Amino acid sequence: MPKITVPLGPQHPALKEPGNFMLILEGEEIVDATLRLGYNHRGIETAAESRNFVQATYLIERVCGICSHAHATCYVTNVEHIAGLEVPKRAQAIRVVVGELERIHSHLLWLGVAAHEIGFDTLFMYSWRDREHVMDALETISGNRVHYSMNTIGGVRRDISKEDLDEILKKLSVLEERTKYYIKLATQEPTLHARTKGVGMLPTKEALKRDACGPLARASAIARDVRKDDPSLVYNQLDFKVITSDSCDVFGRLYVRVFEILESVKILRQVLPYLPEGPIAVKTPPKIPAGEWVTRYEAPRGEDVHYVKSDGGTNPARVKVRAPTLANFESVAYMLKGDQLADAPLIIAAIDPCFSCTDRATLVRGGSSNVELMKDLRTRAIEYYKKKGIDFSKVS
Amino acid sequence: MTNQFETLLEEVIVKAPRRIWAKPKGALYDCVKNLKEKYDFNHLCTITGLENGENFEILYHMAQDKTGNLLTVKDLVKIEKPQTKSIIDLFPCAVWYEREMLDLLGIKFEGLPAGNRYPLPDDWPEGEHPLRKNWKPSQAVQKEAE
Repeated sequence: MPKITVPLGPQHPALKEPGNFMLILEGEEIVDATLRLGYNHRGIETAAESRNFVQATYLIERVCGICSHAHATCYVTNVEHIAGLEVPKRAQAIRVVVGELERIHSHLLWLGVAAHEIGFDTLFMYSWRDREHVMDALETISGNRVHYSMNTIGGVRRDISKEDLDEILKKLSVLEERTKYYIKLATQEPTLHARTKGVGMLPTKEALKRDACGPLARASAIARDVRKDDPSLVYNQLDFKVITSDSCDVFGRLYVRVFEILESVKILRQVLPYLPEGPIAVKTPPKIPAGEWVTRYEAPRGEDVHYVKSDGGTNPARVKVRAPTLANFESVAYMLKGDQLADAPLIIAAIDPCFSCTDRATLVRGGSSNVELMKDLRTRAIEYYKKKGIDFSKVS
Repeated sequence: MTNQFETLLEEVIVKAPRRIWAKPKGALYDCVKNLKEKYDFNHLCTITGLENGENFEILYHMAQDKTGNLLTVKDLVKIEKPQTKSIIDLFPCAVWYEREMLDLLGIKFEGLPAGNRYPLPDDWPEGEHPLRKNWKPSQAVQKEAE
């Protein structure tokens, strides 16, 4: 049978991020795949060199729309080490809180995307509805749903009040209950099993060879988690499990992520009620002494690595960002081989490739400063549907 | 632990728990190979390339899964002859990091197979490396941007 080359992307309805996959097919089976990336290259590393250390924090945060806190934390940790700053315990705990909320939000988002690729759109809508709880919690803390801008060099920019804390803990209970439902679904629903088991196989040996990281590595039975291996912040004082699965397929990646949501809830319950007293940031000098540092951080998608070099000035001399997705693309090329063409979008989505999203609704009418917040829009929506005879007021 | 590396590394500095910095003794490729095979540095986190004014620095960030130690091996390459040996047969994922340095800094890697470039566009002009310190967009690049 002659081999056919099918291009998937750079623009393709199954992928919300530009990336090109040349799939060589024999019939329906993928026999080889080559990747072309770089369509999203924005020159952020060079741009960071022309900004001062504080400005670069918020530029680096915009590397990603989902794991923005992970990137910013990784960067500021580097700068703090070079400058020899002692970050207050309360700030460290708040960074963990935002980091874990971000992980829950990212995993729920992934669950929706994966469900959509599987063709299970009801699950997609359910998980994205539940994701709103965690987005609201992040908005309560930071004022933002995406790009929380919580980090600054030497600490965090906002404190968490007692009232906010109680509200977040309430939301966590809802999330925990919903996650248990997803776990039941993932372990018992036959259609999910049929579409994910044995798809996109990545044996442990191959994952190790290709330096896979994050949920992808953990689903191939590698207990690789920077929070345990190389702990920063207050992670070494917390009790949580590294979830692994030995199924080495898309099902394993689903399993790892849903159980990780529960672990994140567990971490938040250990941190939130016991936030250490004290300041949330220390003063930072405008000039950072010469030096270099490298930090690893467990982002929702895996190990995030940043390197920062200072030559003693106000601007960084070099900032290097290695997002987890780049480390996992070598595994994608392997996983695609031997699978069916129809499974390609699911296999690619299973590593949770990073795409930017922002869904904050801010409406400015007629040039006035009348800003409508999400909760106002929600109230209006409830009133609108009430007139049509549907009552959504009970839905939180 | 640093004593164990004497045959492989020099100027070994432990800056903090789990953060080790060093320079290779002899060829970089052999050093990375030994670190992977004999000392369990089985995970290549990333490779950073930068220009320090006199040389290119290539930093190999390697981690041990068991201990969480992160070793940064700093190799120097002359700006006039930016060439070094590829390590993709030891760490296949290094292909992305090496291609990135090839595009952005113009460092050539012996043994890096021909393939799609990363991350610059296919029609990006030859000899333009945006991460070099003295780089200014040339007319060819500006024309491309228009």
